[in-house]
Amino acid sequence: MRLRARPLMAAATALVAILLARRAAAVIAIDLTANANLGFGQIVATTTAGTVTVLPQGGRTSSGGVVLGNGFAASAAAFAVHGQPNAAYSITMPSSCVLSGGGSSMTADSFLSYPPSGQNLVGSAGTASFTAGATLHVGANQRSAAYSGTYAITVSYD
Amino acid sequence: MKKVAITAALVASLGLLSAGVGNASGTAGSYAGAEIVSALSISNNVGLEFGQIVPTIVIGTVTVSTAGVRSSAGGVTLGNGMVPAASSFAVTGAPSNTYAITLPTSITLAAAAGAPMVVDTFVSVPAVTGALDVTGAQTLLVGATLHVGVSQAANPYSGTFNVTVAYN
Repeated sequence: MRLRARPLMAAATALVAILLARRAAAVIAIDLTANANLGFGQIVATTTAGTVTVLPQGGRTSSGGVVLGNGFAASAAAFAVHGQPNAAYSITMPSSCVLSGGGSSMTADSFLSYPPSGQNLVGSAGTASFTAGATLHVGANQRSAAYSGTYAITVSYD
Repeated sequence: MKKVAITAALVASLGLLSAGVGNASGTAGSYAGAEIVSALSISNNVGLEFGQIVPTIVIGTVTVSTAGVRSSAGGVTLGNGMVPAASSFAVTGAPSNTYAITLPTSITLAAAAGAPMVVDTFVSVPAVTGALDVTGAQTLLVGATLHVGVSQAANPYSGTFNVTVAYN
């Protein structure tokens, strides 16, 4: 039994060593930088609640009882990724984010990225970028104010 | 047994090496912003005033420009007992926003006696699209043309018209 066990153990050791060596070689730190803020722009609240969606690929839509103002442009958020060339990575979005202003608050959720999560690859130069959008929920007669909040996005190697 | 121990030590050291190299994930915080702004509103400060007009046996028109300057065409004579005026509206809403302006096509002015007169060719400054300033305000001026009939009955005539504004 001991004679047969030894070659098996050696093979297992070699496999672990190869796997670990590959993993060690792949782990150049992945780094994420926020380059542009997510801006929902100007919104006119009415007596009916509604939503404003900033699409990750740009553009803004509304539903329900909100009217879109146009005093300044809405914008998708933009992020830069640095990491191992040609490595696939995943994007983890926040489930929601609270925007506060004037003693009131609104919630943003349904965060989406472009390219969508699951289709992200670090470029051959070790860089990549993606944009993000979300949906803002505006209450009935939402108080007039400038609202802001922060959220975190995480990228990790697949 | 000795070999197994060496293997275990080797695996442990490789594990340490692996854990010591770089992060497998990165997180960035970002800012989200929105501005809730007040709804668009419009209120009339000055009515449209064509002033005093003397009819003749020939039809004519009286036009008040957005600057409040009056002119006539055809068989009417301008009286001067009253001051003509362009209509002035105060528009308020979201700072720096543009908005669409809709003017009436025509209205009629009626009097206690006499045929009604038609007012049309409404013009405004700004025209078609207005732009609120950084405080969310703009003054909208409106002029129009009054059609005076043959021997139009002498009377004060009045009517109302609506100007609609909406965010673009």
